[in-house]
Amino acid sequence: MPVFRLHRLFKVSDAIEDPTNGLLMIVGDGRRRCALLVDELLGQQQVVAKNLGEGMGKVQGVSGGAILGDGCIGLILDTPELVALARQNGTVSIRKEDLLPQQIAAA
Amino acid sequence: MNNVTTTNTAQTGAATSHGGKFLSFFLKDEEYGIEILKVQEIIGMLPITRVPRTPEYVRGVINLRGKIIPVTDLRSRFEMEEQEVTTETCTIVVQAGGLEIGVIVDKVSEVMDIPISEIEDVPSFGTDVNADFLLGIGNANGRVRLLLDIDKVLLTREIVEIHSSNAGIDA
Repeated sequence: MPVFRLHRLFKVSDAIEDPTNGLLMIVGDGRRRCALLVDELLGQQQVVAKNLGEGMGKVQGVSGGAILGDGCIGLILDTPELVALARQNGTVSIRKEDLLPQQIAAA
Repeated sequence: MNNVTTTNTAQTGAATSHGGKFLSFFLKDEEYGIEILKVQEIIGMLPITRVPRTPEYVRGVINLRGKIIPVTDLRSRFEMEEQEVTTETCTIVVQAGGLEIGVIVDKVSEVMDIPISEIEDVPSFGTDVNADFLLGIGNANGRVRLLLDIDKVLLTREIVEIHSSNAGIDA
């Protein structure tokens, strides 16, 4: 399964880069799956998906936004697009020797 | 690359053939004006959610009473140095080419009437801002303001990006 380093696509400078320190969130588009390297899982909630305003145009990997309980905006990832991206750039996968033994067992 | 876009946005540019009311605001030490008819409202700074893979000057999106709109930092758009947010920093929500977009400026000043006789053509040098983005230079109450063509400022480069990203997907 490809590991997708989301912080590279999104150019987040202070993200966790070592897969053994972060979390791998496995997502799928129905047929294929990939693992997204994320810093932290915050929870699960129901939201209303909105677009990011006509003026923003299409942002690769983001399908829209949602207004959260505190009034801030959360971005909604475009999972099929991310899976497709992860599949086409083989370069984002981590090497097997980077993994800890228990992770190889889990994969 | 910028040259290509001028024709795309030409039809959205406002006519300079008439004067009218302009909202003036400051960026750095310079005073600018935008047509008041393009201005929807002026709000303080709201929490901004950064959106990845957008140009540097697009600060992100804000929640405007339940509607998500993008915000652009005009200083960054004109490649001026950044400034910390102060109590005077504010967001002008404008209607540019039918789109609602927030524009961050240092402070807003006033609304003034500038008759066409007081608007002069843009000299081709000597301003911080690309002359393509200007409607003209307005003179009112003894002060000079650079009158921005806000449609061009906000839409020009985005059109290029949309086109080029579409090309990338097709290729």
